[in-house]
Amino acid sequence: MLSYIVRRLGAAVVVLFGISLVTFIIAFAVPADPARLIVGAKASPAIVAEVRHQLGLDQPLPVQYIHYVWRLLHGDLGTSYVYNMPVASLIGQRIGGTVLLAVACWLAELIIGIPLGIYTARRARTWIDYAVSALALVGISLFVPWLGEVLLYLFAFKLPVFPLGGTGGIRHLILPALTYGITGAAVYTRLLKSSMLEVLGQDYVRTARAKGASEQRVIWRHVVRNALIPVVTVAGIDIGTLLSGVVLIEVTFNWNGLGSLATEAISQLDIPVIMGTVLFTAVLVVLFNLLVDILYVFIDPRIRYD
Amino acid sequence: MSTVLPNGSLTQAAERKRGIGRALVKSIREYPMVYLGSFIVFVLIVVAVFAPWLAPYDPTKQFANGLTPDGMPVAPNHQFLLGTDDVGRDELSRLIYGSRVSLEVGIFATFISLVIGTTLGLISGYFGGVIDSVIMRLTDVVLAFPFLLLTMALVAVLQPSVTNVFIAIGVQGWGTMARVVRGQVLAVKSFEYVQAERAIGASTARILFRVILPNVLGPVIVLAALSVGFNILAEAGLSVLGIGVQPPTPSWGNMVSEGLLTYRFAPWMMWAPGTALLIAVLGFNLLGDGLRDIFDPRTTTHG
Repeated sequence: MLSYIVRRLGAAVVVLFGISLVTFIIAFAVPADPARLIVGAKASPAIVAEVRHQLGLDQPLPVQYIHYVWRLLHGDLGTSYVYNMPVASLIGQRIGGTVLLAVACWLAELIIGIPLGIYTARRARTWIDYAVSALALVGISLFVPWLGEVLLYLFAFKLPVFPLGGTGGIRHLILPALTYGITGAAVYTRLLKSSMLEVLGQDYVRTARAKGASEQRVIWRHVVRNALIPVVTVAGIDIGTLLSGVVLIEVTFNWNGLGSLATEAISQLDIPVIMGTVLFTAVLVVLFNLLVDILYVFIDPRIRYD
Repeated sequence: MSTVLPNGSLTQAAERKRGIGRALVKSIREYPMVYLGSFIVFVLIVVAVFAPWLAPYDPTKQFANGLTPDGMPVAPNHQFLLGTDDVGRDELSRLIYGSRVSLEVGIFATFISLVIGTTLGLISGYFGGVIDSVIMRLTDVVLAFPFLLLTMALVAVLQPSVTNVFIAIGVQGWGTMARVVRGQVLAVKSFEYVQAERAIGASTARILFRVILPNVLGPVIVLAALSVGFNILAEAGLSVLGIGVQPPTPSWGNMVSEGLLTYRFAPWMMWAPGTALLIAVLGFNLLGDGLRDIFDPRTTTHG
């Protein structure tokens, strides 16, 4: 078990290293000269050269990369060209909004997806099962910003129940979370349904029934508990998809977070902020997956690691 | 002059015809998703290919009567069936031409992912060892990035254009394909027919591409169909973030994104492109899911 954790950690370090290399290469591939962006179009070549030197851009690429990783290890993600402040503090200012929104979206998809999965598994091959399956397919095929737009139109404009976007508390969170919930729930509904159908065919379920346990007890104590394992895995690992979705939700609902930070940075070609956000979210995904994998060692005794 | 065919062959022909019809009905009943999905995809391709003939107007033309006297978009009427947008262009024509961007990006990006993913998956699964570890770590790196954020960074750096958008989406969409192909190869490579090929001295390339590849193709085709739908949504997402295919080229993503600014006074600008996206993506998802049920009856997702 310990060797599994060590190996898993080793793999995560390799992946983190790869991520830093990818962001470095992309940032280097930018056609625009960062020094020129900082000093403006009118500055003399001498000043541009001076700034290039200050930024270390006149050094060989491998040296630049080593400096880049060294700074990353010290939590230095670079300095924004536009705000002229550390990217890390910009991310720090915006991360709260994104975390709040992401948690709300994540809960919404579980709250919609899990009960539907349990319900349809018990009514497999009935019309309601087919109807939910069809709806699930539509949910997966929906374009998140469009659904958000439609919900805003219906429930914030036509029926002014919710605010027309913006950052805020519960009232501001409901429509964005619902938007993400509707599109994301289908994955959980399908997964839970197929996993419940599989568990329902297991011997221990038959044993539970044979010893006279009530149907409610069989379903809740035996089937749902076991069928939830793959669902929990996906719910824990799918943070990358969640973050991508949340970026779109932020732009659609005018929510202040990392996604809107990155989008603003793109319109201003603020490369350090763009790359800093991408790197930060990727690292977040790796660490989160690592955490889920390691927690599993303790949670699920059936999984053997050797 | 008698045109009557010998009695026997007439009934035979009719019966054969009825037989084909019946077989078709049976197969549609059996695989409704595949047929519905193929139908939607077919219509989509026809619309994209024949856009210049199908669209009533030039999608970039700004009509003088396309705006109300106070400069507002015109609601759907007999001239502009889906109304006009905020600069007086015909929404229906933009919708028809917009199918081109979606299909191009969806299909070409999938093609790139398919080539990279299948090749790396085959190599990784077949050779194992260090090569396998290196390729799988590479896959982990690609899969670690939140899809949209990395695409966003890539397109921002490459400059937005149809080509750069599908390259950016394609070069990072191969992770799942590589993993699936690798898994299939691991399952297939110890089978007797692979051993037999090796025993008669077939080259590695032959074993990989002529023997193993055809046997792992089922799940790849399913993934490819689903990935076209996913990529269409990714392209639209980039447009909403302002780095998709640039105006005035009409794209459904751009149109949805314009709708965000105009839904309060011109809701028709929001309904059309979103519905088109939904139907197109649904088509590819139906096709992918339906094919999965055929290739792998164990993982029935429906019913």
